[in-house]
Amino acid sequence: MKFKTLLAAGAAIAFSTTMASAATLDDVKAAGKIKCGVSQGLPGFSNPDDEGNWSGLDVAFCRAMAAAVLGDSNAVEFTPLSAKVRFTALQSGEIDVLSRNTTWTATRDNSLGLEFVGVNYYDGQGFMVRKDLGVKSATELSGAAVCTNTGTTTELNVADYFRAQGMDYTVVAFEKADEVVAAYDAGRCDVYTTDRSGLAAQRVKLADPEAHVVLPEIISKEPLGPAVRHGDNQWGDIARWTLNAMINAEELGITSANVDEMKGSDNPSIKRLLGTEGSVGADLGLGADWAYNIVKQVGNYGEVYDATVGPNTPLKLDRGVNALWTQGGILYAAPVR
Amino acid sequence: MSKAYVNDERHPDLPPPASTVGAVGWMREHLFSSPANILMTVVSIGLLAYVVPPMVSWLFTSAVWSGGADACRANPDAACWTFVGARFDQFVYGFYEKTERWRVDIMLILLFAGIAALVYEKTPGRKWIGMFMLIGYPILSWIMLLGGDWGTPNISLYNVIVVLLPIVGIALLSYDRLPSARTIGIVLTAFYLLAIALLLGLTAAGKTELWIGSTVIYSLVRLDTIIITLIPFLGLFALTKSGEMERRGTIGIAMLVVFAILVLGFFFDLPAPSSLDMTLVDRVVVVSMVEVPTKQWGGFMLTLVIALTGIVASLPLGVLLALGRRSNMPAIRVLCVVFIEFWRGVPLITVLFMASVMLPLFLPPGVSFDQLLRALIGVALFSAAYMAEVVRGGLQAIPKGQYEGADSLGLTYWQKMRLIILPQALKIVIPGIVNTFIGLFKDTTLVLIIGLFDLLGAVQASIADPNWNAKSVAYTGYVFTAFVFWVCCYGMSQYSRYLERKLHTGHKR
Amino acid sequence: MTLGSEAAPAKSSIINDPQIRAIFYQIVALIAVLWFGWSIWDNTQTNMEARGIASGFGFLESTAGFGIIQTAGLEYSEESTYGQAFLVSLINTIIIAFTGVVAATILGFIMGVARLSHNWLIQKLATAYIETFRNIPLLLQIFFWYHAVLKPLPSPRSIYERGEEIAFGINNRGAYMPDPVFGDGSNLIWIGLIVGIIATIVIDKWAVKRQMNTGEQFPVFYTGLGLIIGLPILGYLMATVFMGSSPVTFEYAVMKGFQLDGGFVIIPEFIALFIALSVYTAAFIAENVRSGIQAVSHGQTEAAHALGLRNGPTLRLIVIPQALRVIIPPLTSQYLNLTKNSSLATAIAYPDLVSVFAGTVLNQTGQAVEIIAITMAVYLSLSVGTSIFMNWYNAKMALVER
Repeated sequence: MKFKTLLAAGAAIAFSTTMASAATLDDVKAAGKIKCGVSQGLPGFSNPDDEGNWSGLDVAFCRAMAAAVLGDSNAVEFTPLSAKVRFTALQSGEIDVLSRNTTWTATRDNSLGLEFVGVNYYDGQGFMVRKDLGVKSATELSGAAVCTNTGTTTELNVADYFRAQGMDYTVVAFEKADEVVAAYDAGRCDVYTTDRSGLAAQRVKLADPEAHVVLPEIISKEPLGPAVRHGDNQWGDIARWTLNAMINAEELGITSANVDEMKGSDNPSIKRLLGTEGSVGADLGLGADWAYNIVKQVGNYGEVYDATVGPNTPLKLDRGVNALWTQGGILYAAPVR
Repeated sequence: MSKAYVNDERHPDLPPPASTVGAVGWMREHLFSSPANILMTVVSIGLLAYVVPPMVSWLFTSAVWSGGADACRANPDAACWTFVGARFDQFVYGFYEKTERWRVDIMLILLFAGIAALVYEKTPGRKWIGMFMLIGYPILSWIMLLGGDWGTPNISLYNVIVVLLPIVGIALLSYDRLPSARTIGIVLTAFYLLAIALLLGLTAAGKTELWIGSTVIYSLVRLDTIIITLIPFLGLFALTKSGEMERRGTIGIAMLVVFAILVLGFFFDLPAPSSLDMTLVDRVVVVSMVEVPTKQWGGFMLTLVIALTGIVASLPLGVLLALGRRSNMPAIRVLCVVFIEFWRGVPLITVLFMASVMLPLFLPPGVSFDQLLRALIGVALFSAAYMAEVVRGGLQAIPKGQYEGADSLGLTYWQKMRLIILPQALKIVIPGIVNTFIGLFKDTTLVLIIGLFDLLGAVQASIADPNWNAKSVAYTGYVFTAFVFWVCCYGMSQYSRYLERKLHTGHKR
Repeated sequence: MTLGSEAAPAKSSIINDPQIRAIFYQIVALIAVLWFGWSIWDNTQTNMEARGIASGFGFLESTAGFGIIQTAGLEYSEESTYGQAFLVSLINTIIIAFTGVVAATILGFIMGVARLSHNWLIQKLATAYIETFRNIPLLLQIFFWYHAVLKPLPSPRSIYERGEEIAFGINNRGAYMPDPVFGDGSNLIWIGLIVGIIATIVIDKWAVKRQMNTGEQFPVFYTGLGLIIGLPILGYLMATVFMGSSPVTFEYAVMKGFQLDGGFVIIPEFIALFIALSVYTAAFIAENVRSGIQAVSHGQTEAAHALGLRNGPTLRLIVIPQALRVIIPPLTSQYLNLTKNSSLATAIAYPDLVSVFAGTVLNQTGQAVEIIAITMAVYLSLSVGTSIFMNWYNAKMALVER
């Protein structure tokens, strides 16, 4: 035993710190939970109910990771983050994975010390206005006041869009989504802009949702996806394949209801995914039943989508481009092989 | 002789002019004494007439007192008190485990009882209650609220050395008469005697675990290890008792030297003797409860936790910083000045931002501690700097003669401060201290920005609920929050006024 | 310490020598602090390298790409750099801090005096004001004022016709007023202003000297007012005569499709933050003023009355100058608090330093360490600057004793 370890152990006792090594997977296993950064309340994506239970599409991803790594989809500690602090929190190690409707961009991927692992929702930025403005298209918005969030790609996109169209605008940027909605509702702005999924989610919170309309223009590509810290490839792989497993499960028709039955399937793809054949789980540093746990405890991508943002939820979002590639969408996961 | 006409009875006093007595006189004097006053009075009455009736109507007469969200949607221009009623539990406890809320209740009752006992001056043993509220209560509430297993760590020889050597060494070098060494010795001896008794009792009963209700007290203490750790303390105890304290310097230095060797070993990464790793005492768990992680803490309870921790921690820290700032040692003085001015100069939200999301960047990889704890440390350091300035004001107000008098009695620095200066200085600045507490209490709302759900955060989270999207809900929530804060802060400020009056011994106008 | 050699200390070891001890403690403290600082620096370096986080200050040169709602008269557009965004947000912080300090001081003095008024109603109202606003968290007050400002104001479309020119107007997009444009010849106005100020200072010095020597008073206030206002007007008239047209023109706000365009705008976020900060801080200042006035011995007032001074002059000439000595130190802390509290602007979208620089810029660049360091340094310098100024003023006001 080295002095360094001893001293660290002593310090751990004296200052009640937790000791951990550099690999996130080991940290997570030692802590018995995944620290997951989510939004401060965006219905459908990550939202706490009045008991403090989190639900939503982004939340489901974290639960799936917990199911894959720890075998328990509830072993997640959710940290609500504002758009402003999310990257710093991930960089510093405050959270293990950021699943907070975050757009995958080159700058973020390359210079912020982040690693995006895929896309769990293909989105685009849109505009919402009051119906009584009589505006039918975003090109009529010259001179408008625009409410948005600080520290988001929307803030930049709206600047690009208005400049490209040669239109004037004033931007009012708030830190919390709730404050943006409140200010828009109070008439501070003519336009509320964010990702279209966000518009659908926030519209539910407005005093009179029917008095507002979402304009047809989509002004940007917003591939929203989870991110992990740069430099820990194993952890990045686990996150990436958790997402792929959820999508592949839908493609293969495995649901949380029939997963036990499917375990006896003869289809080699299903067998590889559910760990009855091959060593995908072990290669990731996980158990063979990693994907089984994901599907059993959280469900496949389609199930999660329908339960959180789909047509039967208050958000009423159609699958659209988020359908599987076999069904006209662009969801196309790398095969488990 | 004409009859002299002398009134030999005193004429009864004439009544004062009608315009100076009764309601009319009072109004003339207090409201209409000059044209300017008349104008101001009229304007004020107009202002009140403009503001008060709509306020009363919004708050009370037309407010929604029963029914659900629909009742509030139907009446958007009045307060929606049913919302507060429906979410009251969340406002108080946040997301704290439902079945465990009795723990919070107990601590709240204890808190209010303690404060009541402290405020009422005739309570017997006020001093001890005060000591408990300042030291015991915070520790107890941390244990109660967090739950989990509480007890001693697994004590190895190495832990004893690393933690105790420098402390005891410095204590030996610093205290000239070491008045408390004896107390320490007695307490430690008592502790070990108790442990041995417990062990012997358990062994006699043939048990390795002891349960009290749902609480398990189990002891795995080994007799030989108790004796090993007991030896140095018995030695210390004996030294104090026999008055052999001239050697304390040598002992202290020896202890620091051993510590320094260990630290050097750490830097050069030398292998440590394996005996250091030997476990002396296994972990002793005293209390065991369901753990409620701090992430689930919220609402008014969290507000109180942050405020009280800040208050309890900032006072001693502030006193130390103030003393440091007035120290004769230039290096210490400069360090304290820089520290105080830094914390006073930066906004609390940047401090909280650093503490909440950036801290792991500054620490060695893998080391981290609880997010709430970090926010607490930030808040405590921040208010300690303010407290230091308040205390410094008190120190400066003490006449020089008091310092010189203490010196001439041959008191050491710490004796002088503890017995002469600080009691006087702190008494003068009690109002300032309470004002700092009030500021700290209000500042707790800023933790909302770093994602902790304090009272304001809990209210905001409830407001965002689409089921309660009535217009008046947000205003009602904010008014409720404002009222709660106002009651607490106003109470504190009135108490500080009262103390100010009580301690004010000069002449009043 | 001792007088003669006979009083040599009996048996003294080195560790009992207070001086040696003092040096030892200081060295230990210094080493501890240095080690602490070094290890933080070292850890940060290691961690940032390991995680591939960009570092350095080069980002200040990159294009920002986002808009800012209040640019404080500086040139700023989406093509500007992060450095320019920093400057704009810094000026915004200084604007809100400065205007807030001025308003809070005025309101605070009024309320502090009103708190001691003989008029019962005024006194109670002032007390109610102080006790209400002092005891409610500022963040809540900011939310309150923001919605209190936004809610009753009409939307521009509901009150203006398209193309209408508005000189002065207020709606939920802000308060609009004409924006003066200084054309050729307007230099004369500025020269007039500067000369007026310098002349006033000179006259003030001269008047004080004369009063010291002869006891004669000179109406410095009215003379100065006349010079500072009169000379720029003179400059304006001269420029008009020479140039043949007015050197200052006004640009009016014009109603466009959604809101007014042009003119001089004060955004609602500023108004709300300004009200919240000054009302909150004024409640504290009022308490300082009250205790300052009460600290002036009642004998001073009685003596002034005995000299035949009325209430107004007594307050202005006797009580306030003495009370200021007590008031200034706590007033300084209130100014510092206000400056720091202006960082809460981030809650309501006022583009101050924390909101824009430590918010948007931090998020776009991810360089938290550099940006937070700059932000803290700025607030520290603002605080230190305010402290230095107030200490200078305090020294000036201090009682000159024998």
